[in-house]
Amino acid sequence: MTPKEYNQIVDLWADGVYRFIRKNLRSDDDSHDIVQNAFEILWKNHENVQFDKAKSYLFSTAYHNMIDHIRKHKRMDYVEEIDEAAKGGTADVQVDVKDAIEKALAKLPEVQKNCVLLRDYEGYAYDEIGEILQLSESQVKVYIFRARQSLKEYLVSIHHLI
Amino acid sequence: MKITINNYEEWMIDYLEGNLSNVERKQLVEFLEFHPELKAELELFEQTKLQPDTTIVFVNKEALKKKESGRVITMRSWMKYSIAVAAVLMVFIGVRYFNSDTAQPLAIKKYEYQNTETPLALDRNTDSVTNINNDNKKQNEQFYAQEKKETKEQIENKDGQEDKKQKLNLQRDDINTITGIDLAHVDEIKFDATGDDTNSIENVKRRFDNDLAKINKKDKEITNISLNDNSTVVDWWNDAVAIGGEMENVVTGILEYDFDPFEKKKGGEEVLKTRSVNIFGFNYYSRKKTNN
Repeated sequence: MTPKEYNQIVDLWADGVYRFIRKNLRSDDDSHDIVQNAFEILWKNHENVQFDKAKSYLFSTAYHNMIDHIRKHKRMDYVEEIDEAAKGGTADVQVDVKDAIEKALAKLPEVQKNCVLLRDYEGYAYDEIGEILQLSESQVKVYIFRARQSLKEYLVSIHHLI
Repeated sequence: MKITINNYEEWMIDYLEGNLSNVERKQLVEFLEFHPELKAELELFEQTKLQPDTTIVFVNKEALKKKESGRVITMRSWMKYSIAVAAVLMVFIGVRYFNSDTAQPLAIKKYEYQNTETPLALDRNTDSVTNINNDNKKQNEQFYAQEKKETKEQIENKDGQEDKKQKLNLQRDDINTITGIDLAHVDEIKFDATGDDTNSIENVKRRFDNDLAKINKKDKEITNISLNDNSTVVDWWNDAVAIGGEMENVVTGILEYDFDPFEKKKGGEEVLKTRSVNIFGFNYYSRKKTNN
């Protein structure tokens, strides 16, 4: 990958990878740092990474940075989100489907959430998601299936409450 | 696998995921015809498709970008250039500051060159010239008393003013070569006109090297510049002129500079004049030749 192609990757995927990370972490700054770090790693290896593999490489690097970050800061951000979502689900029912999906998403196990995020946000194929998250293709398919089931159940429960 | 009431969710998700063939999609549609109550469920599944929030963006993408080879980014090269120039200026200022016996603070000083009987005066420290006439005078006299005595004797011993004049009328090349002299500590340089090599370039250099050794012995803080390097002063000057020229429109600290070292006097005589450049309050001078 040439420096020019690297810069193209920045233009094409910086927002996407940031969104993906930001969905997992609550802090803008932490998400920013993780993405920046991922790009630095990509740049260091840009000569060895082919342009068509760069997006996966970037997402994968950012994902692993994020996992490291979460491990270092033991209080996982998504746990907080689950608590918040649980509160919202019982006391303050949101009729807005988008909000409801956001809350339901926060309740999903991390791996399911990330599978769905990569699938819907970035349109990745199962095998590509598997590469990034280090899962098999069939695992990815199962996780996405379970995630959608959970999300649908959450929507059903909200509809019942209404 | 046939679609049934037990596995329809999987079909719906596969449909949503785009995993169904045309035939399978048709099967799902037919299945829903038989189970219209499940259509709402398919709609719910469709709502599980996440939409990215495009308002969330990575700020300052430009900071992530790298320089592409073969393409000069003006801003960057300019910054590099500025930093290099700033570094050189700082060296100038630093050297000058340390080289000044009184370590005078930054201030724009009016140039006054030393008007002595010296036929060739190399002068780059205005304030030092002033100091020589005052505080440094004593110190320098102490160091150079012996030297002066000798040279005065030499000059006194010479015969014929015409001969002297001729000898003093140094060629440009000679002038340009006698440059390894730091007049911050030397108030005058004498050249004899006796025709011997007492004041050849090498001997002048050697004497001043010795002087420097004395100075260093006396007070190491007086100077940290090696005068053994004949090019030292001249290089400073050339750098100053180069920067003065290139930075003409950029650094306001450069108040004046002059590239032409020679000026023509009445009668067509071309003499080396003093060139000066003021960089951030410090004046840098070339040498001045005065004919008596």
